[in-house]
Formats: sequence, structure tokens, C-alpha cells
Amino acid sequence: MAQRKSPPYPNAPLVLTVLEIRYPELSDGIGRSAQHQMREALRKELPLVENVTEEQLELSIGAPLPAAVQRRTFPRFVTRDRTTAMVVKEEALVLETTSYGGWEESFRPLVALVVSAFAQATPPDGVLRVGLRYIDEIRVPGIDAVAGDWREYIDEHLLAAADPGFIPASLKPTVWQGLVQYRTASDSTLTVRYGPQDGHAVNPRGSTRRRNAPPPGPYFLLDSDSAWQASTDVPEFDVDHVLEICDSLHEPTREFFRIAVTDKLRDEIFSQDKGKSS
Amino acid sequence: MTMLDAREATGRPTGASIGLFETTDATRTIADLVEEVGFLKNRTRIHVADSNGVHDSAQQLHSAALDQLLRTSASQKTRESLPDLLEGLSGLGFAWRDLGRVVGVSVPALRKWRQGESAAGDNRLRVARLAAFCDIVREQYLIDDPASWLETPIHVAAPTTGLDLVASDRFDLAFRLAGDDGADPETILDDFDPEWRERYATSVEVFVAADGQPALRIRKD
Repeated sequence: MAQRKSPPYPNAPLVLTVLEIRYPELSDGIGRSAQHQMREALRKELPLVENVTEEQLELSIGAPLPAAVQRRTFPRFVTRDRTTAMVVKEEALVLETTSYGGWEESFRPLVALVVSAFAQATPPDGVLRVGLRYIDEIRVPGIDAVAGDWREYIDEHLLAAADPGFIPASLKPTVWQGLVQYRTASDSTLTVRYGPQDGHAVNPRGSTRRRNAPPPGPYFLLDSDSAWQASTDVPEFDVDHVLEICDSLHEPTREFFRIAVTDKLRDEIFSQDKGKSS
Repeated sequence: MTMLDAREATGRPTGASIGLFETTDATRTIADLVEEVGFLKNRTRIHVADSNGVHDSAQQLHSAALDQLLRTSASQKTRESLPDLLEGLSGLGFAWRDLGRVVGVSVPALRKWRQGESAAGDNRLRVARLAAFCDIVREQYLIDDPASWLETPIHVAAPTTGLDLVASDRFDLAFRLAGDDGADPETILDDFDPEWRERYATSVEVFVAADGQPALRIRKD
């Protein structure tokens, strides 16, 4: 499938890109040998490896037994600037970045690398769900309130709930969020959460570092979650098949972003150099 | 990374009597994946706290209900003659000196009441309340011999008995002691006399001597 290029804007509103692949739980967990193998395969792109410890509670309903706590550790592979990270657990792999450099230019190659490394180190029995998610915080200089006038920057269809022609004057919109799910293929959906918000959609003090996070303030959220889910049969975990799924998931998100924002926003805000934008 | 919850901005929704389902299955971030367990842990902690709260509320309700029952029964008992009430308590096995301590009068005063002399209203009520208490613990807690039960020390480390509780008008603690919900005697003693440990601490301890027999000695600490 031919991919249309989606070069990142100099001042893109994208703050987090996430890929999650869920699979049947690894029967033997993630052993040291598998971790070592992945570490070697990812040494160049994700050179730092940290162990994350989680505590799992086992509760016995109806029995007077104290909750048992089990501790498990799993690897987290991180870039040196800590803006890209991957976590592998028994039931899912998550790759996320706050410094997205374009689908074809950087993220897809990284996806291909981590999926291949994972499949070689500890191949799961199949693939259950693949999700590709883009979270945008669209900030416009001059809009100082959540209920500001976004009409020149966001397509009016996404502002319908606060349209003065629709709502009576006695109702003052303060904050709102819409959610819509589109079917994009027989086994795929695009779920979009959108609306003006305040603060940050993605925590600037999270474990995956956000470079140059702006101060909290009004922004328009575009959270596009494109997902494929195994309907009946669980296909094998084939690297090429997973990448095909990823490619098919990327296109709807790109298309929705294109129609959601106006040319004025693209030209005046996204295309500016970062130093001049705000 | 952590996705911040939109509900932080909009506030908590109005509670509904029906559950609202999450309609979508979102792609999870690393923070979602890693912190789900922490979220579950927090929810579990809240559930445990809620359960304890419900338990405490139920216990308070039960205690209030028993208190009301005791007052109502005692009021009924005051209609009986005082000599009959005293003979009834004596028949249950109470010694006159113990009855005098609970009611707050001397044994000769009890003797006069048995012979028909009148008693002050509050004293009459105290006798009736002890009789009502015995009826309740016999009927509701199946304690056949309330007199002996009340004379038994609550805890091996202190001489305090159930009689001490009722003599101090702590019928609520006596009911807790009678209850079969596993009330810890130490917590009852703590509520009755927070300094009981110091009060009844002993400098003597029992040990097994060289001949294999128990013996006493002064504690080293």
C-alpha cells in the first residue's frame, strides 16, 4: 500500500504518539534471555533499559485471607533523551514518543524494529489488538480561555456543541469534550475525543519526557485512536502482518487531522518556527 | 505518559443509579499499562475503607438499637415491684454486695428494699436496668448464667469484670463483650480504662524453675 507522506510541522501540536500491541499472555513471561536479546537488538535506538516493578494484588472474595501481593518486573527501553520509550509486559507492548518525527521518516521504522526484536526474542501466540494513537494539544496565541473563539482554527463541525446559533444565550459553554467512533474497516475503528480543555492532555512530568512543554492553559484536544481488533480468529504474530495493520491504522488518523483543523491554523501556527509561535 | 482525566476539568458527574459503561477500549499509554495496577490498588483500598465504614456504621446502629432496647425494657421492669426485681436478680446468682455495687447502695439498703421500704426513683431504675440487661443477654446472646459471666475477668492481664462495666453504666461495652462478633477484650478494656495496662502491670512474672515447677520472680525490665 502506497503511503502518503505526512511530514511533521515545525510547530506541530502533537504531544504524544502511542502504539500498543496486545497479544495472548506470554505463557513463560519475559525471561532474562528474551530481555537480553531485545536489549541487543534495540541497543542503538533505545539504549537505556530500566526495570519497572509492579505490584499485583490477589484478593480472595468471601474468604478471610489477607490480600497477597506479587511483585513482577518488566523492562522499559528508553532513548537517551527519554522522549521515546517502550514497555513490554506479558500481555501487551507499548511504544510511545513525545518527539514524533513523522510516520514514514521515523516512527514506522522504529515500530518495525521493536516488533521484529520482540517477535524474535519472545514470540507471542498471536495478536489481539493493535492501537495507534495521536494526542494533539492545539494551542493558539490569543485564545486565553477554554471557551474562546476556536472557529478560525478548528473545523466548525467539531464546535457544533458550542455554536451560538445552536445554543441559547443562557447557556455558556465552559468546557466540553466530544467522542465519536468511526468504523474504518471491518475490523478497525477510529475513535476521536475532541474539545477545548485547560492545562495539559499529557502530563508534562510523566516518565516519558515532554520536551519544551508549554505552561498550562487553554488548548483544543484532538485525541485520535485508530485501532484494529481481532474479530473471531486470532492471527499469528507475523511482523509483516502487524506492520500492515499499523499502516492501515495510520491513514485514518492523518485524514481526520487534515479535516479537523483549518488552513489558517496550519499556516499561522503549525508552520511557524517554534521560537516564533508563542 | 499519563493522560490527564477530562473529569478533572469538568468535575465529577452526577451520580446515577445505573452504571454507565465505558463505550470504547482505548489504546493504552505506558502509564496506563503500568499504573493500572496502582489504580486497582487504590480502588481496593477505597473498597476496604468503605467496608470498614459500613461495618462501623452497622456496629453503631446495632449499639444504638441495643441501647434503646435496654431503655425500653428497663422502663417496663420498673412496673414490677422492687422486692421481686431484687429476688429475681438474686435468683440469677448475683451476690448482694455485687448488686449493691452496681446500684450504688449498701447491702443493708438492699435488705430494707427487700423488706418493702421504698427506694428513690433513680435507684429503682438502676435495679430495673440490670434486670433488663440480664434478660437481653440471656435471650439475644444465649448467656444462660449472666451473674457468673459478669463476674469473670474480661482479660487475664486485668481484674476488670463485666460487673465493673455495668456498675459504671457502660452497658454498651457489656453488650459488645456479650456479642459473638469476635470483640477483642483488649479493645473493650481500652475503651473502658485506657490506662489499664499501666494500672495492672506487675513486677512479678511466672517462670519454670529448675525443678520443672512454676515459680515467681521479679521482672528484670
